[in-house]
Amino acid sequence: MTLEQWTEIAKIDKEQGSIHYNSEVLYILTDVDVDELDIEELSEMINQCKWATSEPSSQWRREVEGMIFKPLNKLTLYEYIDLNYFFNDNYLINLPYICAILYRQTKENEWGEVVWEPYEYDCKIRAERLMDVPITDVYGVIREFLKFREQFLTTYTNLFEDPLPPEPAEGYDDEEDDPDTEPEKDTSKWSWELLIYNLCNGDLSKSDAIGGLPLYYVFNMLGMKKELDI
Amino acid sequence: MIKILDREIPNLITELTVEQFEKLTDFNSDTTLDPIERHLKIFEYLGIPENEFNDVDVENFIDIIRQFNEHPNMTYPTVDTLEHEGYTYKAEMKMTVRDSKLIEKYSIGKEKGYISNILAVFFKRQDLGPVEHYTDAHIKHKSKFLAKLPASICIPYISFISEKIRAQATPKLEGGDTGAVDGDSEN
Repeated sequence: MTLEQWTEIAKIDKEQGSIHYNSEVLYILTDVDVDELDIEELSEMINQCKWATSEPSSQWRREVEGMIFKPLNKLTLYEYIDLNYFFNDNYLINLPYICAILYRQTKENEWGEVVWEPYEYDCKIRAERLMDVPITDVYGVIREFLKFREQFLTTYTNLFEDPLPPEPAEGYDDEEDDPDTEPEKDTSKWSWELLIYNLCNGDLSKSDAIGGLPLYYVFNMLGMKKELDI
Repeated sequence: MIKILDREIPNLITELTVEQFEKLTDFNSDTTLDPIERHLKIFEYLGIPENEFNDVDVENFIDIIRQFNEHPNMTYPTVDTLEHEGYTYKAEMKMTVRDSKLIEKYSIGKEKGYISNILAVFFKRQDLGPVEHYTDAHIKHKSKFLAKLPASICIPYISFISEKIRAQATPKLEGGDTGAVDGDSEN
């Protein structure tokens, strides 16, 4: 099964029932319009394709379509932000885009070191190039990234915690009652944008440079800034 | 028909219309209603206002419910041909994948008229082709007149569907095979 077929299957609306789901799966896998078949015939075909919706192996290939899997500890801030978005949205449906970020072209520089292709290409166009890759070659990257993200969030847990709300003035039960306390704005929707805005001190012409910095470097700096309160 | 508080209401499958049968099925499967509330709603729907039961004591009401639900053993012969507005509609005890998908959609959605919609999938106008059979407008049109027919027509078809679904229940792709991977992640 290819990556494209896998994502097409992931997009099927399961709420419409199992017959709808099964016939769509068969259509994606065989290109046969099963609508006019008898329900028993569908059943037989389903039995032959049971493997199709079982979870692929968690193995993955380091190299696909001439591109190399970028080590996750080398991700840049922008790469991590986009991956995080695709995972939060739906990582099965977005798997081609996830692979488009993780699998990169490389070259050797004059010192014999591997140079990674900059993250300046169109993810959608790159994803198209990966659609015919067998799902078993790339499925494992989901687990790999989830593991990485969990570890990353644990390492920098203090940077992801919400700051404590300001103490209400004496005599007030909570800050809502305190007329001098400004109601806190909900910034969660804009958290990454706000981070970049703050990192470039409001000068958005610097945002691409910030986004291209290594993720760990940015968060180490943020950690230092918080610890030293600077 | 059964006489309750001097009003005659239908209670047998042969007397109820498909539309009434569907409504009664909905009341019966509404778990938020206790048996008394459920039957007050059923009687009201069939034409006896709730307030007419105000002076009926509980024991008598339970007896009314018992009589209402007492049905003789009946068989419901399969009706496979219908005439309506000069057209002939024929049904076969056969479900293609397309039929099954539509029936599944109506059963899951349980929108008003779902039983007559399901029946409309089976009954196909003889002068029309496969494309027209399944258009929304045509299904709605068939459903409208089928809803007014005796509910006994739908029983053999509902039994047939249940049997097919039971047979299909074991081999399926859908569901838990994909393990814990749902595609959504929280962080």
